[in-house]
Amino acid sequence: MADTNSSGTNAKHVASAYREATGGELEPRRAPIIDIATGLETGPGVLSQDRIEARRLYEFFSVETGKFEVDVPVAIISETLATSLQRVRSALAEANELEKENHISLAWSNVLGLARFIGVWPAFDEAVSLLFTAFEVHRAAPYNPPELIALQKVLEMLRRNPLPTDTEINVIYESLEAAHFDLNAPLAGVNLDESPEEL
Amino acid sequence: MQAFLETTTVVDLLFKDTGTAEPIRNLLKKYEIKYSSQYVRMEIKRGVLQHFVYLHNKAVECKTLAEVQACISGLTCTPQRYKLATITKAMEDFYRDFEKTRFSSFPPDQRPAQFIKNMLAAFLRVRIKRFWTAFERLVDVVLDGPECYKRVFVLAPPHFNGKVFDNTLSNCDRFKPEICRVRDFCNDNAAALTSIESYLTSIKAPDQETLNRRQSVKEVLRLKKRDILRKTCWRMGDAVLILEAPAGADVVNGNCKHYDPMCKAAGKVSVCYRKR
Repeated sequence: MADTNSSGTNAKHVASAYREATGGELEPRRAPIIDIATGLETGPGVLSQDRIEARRLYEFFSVETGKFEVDVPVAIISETLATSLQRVRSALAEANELEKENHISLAWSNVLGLARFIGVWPAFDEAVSLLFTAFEVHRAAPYNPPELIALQKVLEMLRRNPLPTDTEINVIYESLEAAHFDLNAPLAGVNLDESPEEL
Repeated sequence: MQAFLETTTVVDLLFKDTGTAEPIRNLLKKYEIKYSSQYVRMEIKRGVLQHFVYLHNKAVECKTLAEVQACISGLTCTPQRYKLATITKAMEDFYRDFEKTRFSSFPPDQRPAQFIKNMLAAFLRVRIKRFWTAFERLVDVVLDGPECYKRVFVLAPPHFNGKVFDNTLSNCDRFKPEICRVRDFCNDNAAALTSIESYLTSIKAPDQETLNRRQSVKEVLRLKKRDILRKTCWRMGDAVLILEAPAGADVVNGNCKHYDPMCKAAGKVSVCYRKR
């Protein structure tokens, strides 16, 4: 009995919190129906893989805050990258150079916040190592549009999949390299030639 | 115009910083066709990649960067130990500076654990994994005159099992007839090889690399029916590459001292991008 009462009370709290958060709208948010075989939405609405985001897969309604939240690292990473991506997009659209650089600084500041997740997934580490290297080698120069477009592409890709596949890592590497980010800067000055004693 | 990229050139293009790679990229712009060789890929697999794989696997196995450094200092082979230590030091400097500048203001629970070690592993993992495809994209044609690791025992890219890499290089001496035609290749190019040998013999104060090469080429020319052993083949690697470069293709290299005269002796053009 106690359990039933408790859950009933809890349900009431959730409902009232939901009403506040959605402006009195009691209609629950319907999750799209996703076909397991194809990964595409089969319910009403636009069928697009872009809409399947890590955040949407893991979000829950928090009674404490009255908002939809996520506490799963992958979803947090995805959300952080989405914020950075928005900043990069704003930078691309910005005519004022100082405003543009401000957007970029904030974008990177967000990305740096992901450092606490380093060491958990190898794929994430690989992506972050490329991003951090690109950031570090570019810290003393203003960004030009091709560099921002490359960053936008990379963040977009990582936002969708924070644990990228090898193919995606390759695309990230090549996008950044094509925009002239010096990704091998950590090896500057290292002699990789074979010495005769090694043979 | 055509260019043949030897091992150092490919390494500089794929693994080195912009300051080193950009002048080579600019130099290569004038060439319509870029050649390289399976032999170059083998040299990189047994050279740079072997070092990268060792370091990566150690970075994954060890708990701290200090442990990785202790492993390196415990190696007995001096040139390899020195190179591994140089790579580790360069990467450590880069990422330590990054860590100090970017994360010092972070609250302790937000700071990354073992940042440098994890970045070292991730950095190397990306380079090791992408080498095979990046090499093929870099050049238009991959030649294979000596048929290096052809047919039965294939020269495989480093295999990642989800944690560490396996970069085993089979000892080709064991399977010579099935994977290698370097003996036929040298016999077919005996005239050019003889010219190279004459040049090597004429050097009055040869360095160790030249001495090794001279001895190997002499042996190959003297015993024309005997299989060329792996050690001999590897020591005359630069000569093999010069022979393999197509006629009319410039041999783009980063080793003027050795390539310029050997190319001249073999009737090829050496284009060196490093200063003497």
